[in-house]
Amino acid sequence: MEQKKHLYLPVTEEQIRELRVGEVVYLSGVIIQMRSAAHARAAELLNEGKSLPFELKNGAIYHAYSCNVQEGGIWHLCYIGPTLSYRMSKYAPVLIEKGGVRVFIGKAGDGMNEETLKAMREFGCVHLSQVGGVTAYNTSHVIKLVDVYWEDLGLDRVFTYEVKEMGPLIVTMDTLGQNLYFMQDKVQEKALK
Amino acid sequence: MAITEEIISIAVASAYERSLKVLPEDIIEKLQEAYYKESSASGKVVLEIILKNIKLAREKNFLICQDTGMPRYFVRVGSEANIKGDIEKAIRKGTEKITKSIPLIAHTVHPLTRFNPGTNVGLRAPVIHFEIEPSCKYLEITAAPVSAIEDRCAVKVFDVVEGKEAIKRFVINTIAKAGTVCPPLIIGIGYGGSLDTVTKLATNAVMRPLNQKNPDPDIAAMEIELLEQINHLGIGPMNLGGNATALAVNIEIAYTHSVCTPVAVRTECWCARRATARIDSEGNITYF
Repeated sequence: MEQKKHLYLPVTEEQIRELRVGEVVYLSGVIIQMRSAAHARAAELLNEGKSLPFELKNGAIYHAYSCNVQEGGIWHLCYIGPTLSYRMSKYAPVLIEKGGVRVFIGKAGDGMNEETLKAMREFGCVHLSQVGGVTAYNTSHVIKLVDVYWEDLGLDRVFTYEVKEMGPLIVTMDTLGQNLYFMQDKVQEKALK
Repeated sequence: MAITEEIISIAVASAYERSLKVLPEDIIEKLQEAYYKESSASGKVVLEIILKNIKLAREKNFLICQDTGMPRYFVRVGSEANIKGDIEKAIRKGTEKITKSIPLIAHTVHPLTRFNPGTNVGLRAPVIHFEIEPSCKYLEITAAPVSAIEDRCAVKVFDVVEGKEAIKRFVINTIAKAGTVCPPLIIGIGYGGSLDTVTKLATNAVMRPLNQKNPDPDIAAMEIELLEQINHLGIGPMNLGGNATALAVNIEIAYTHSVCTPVAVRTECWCARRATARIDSEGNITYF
């Protein structure tokens, strides 16, 4: 926890492989907000060898819930905050392997599954946890909404945002196969005995 | 002068908005206390951000949490209040208005089809609880949104032979699974009554200011004991490890059946929002 790092998107594999669970990271650049339906579609396209309308390679996916409004055909962000990443685990390994995603950001509290952790170790990707329920603070790091994709997905449509020093984000899954939440489970099991 | 539907709907909309933007002082005090006491580095980072956010929301008139919840109200009707019109209708109107004006993500949907009317209003929604306040002329409405964290709450009916140790274990085991609920938590426990009232007791417990203990000394001692045990689980702020797993354990009791005892555990996040509007007999509204 002593070290603080600033990451700028797109990141490199080396930068990601240096990160360790417990470290604090601040992120700047363009991030991609994706929820479960968007993950499912992205995984399907990647499995078929097709390309996506946005670039995942060396990028960061934000598991987030947001309120966006459209005025005169232009989308604006009202407020945003992270959601739990666990439900996105099913499609994450494909997005890492075939899409080249380097970072998943989700709500602190829970990470992703064993298969995702394995893909993270193999291809170089991390999970970062953002403090949940602090939308005034979290929204303040979004400079602007950049673009929107897959509008037919409704609430699960994909938005990209430019963020500046988004954080503190705590590294919760790293490329050594460490998962802070699995470690936490063990602490609690011990305490219950 | 009567308390009209229009005044009620204004009070409802304002109370709901206030609940989303201003956290009660007693919770902020406990969070500050937790920050100074927290021994884990990540726990300290989290608590610092939570406190910064509360301040930022207040200064910028912004929402505290992006989960603006499913609207819920607690209405206390003075037995001598002069009310003209339909309270429920006024509440629905106020809710629709505020959902549109902020705007809020409408979280209220049909349980089976998941149809979302987009207004936060539907069949038996918002959730409304009514109580009569004897010898009073006012109407009081507390807005307390329901967040998407109820999946970690639990209810169980205990046989008398199981004893109080089994009840304490049930509480601790429930909290051990609540790391995803944005700790530090505020834990409300309903103890006794009947199956239909015990969850309401747990809700009332969560709503009780955190600096107030249960007036029954035996129950107050149980609150302290459980809080201590919970804060030894190591869950910590946002499940990243630490001692601030819960800010408070509040228990509300009711006399119960001699043979069985229902217990409900409500695992509320630190952002346990509540704001009250009181409308006096002249139609003036005060908020607290």
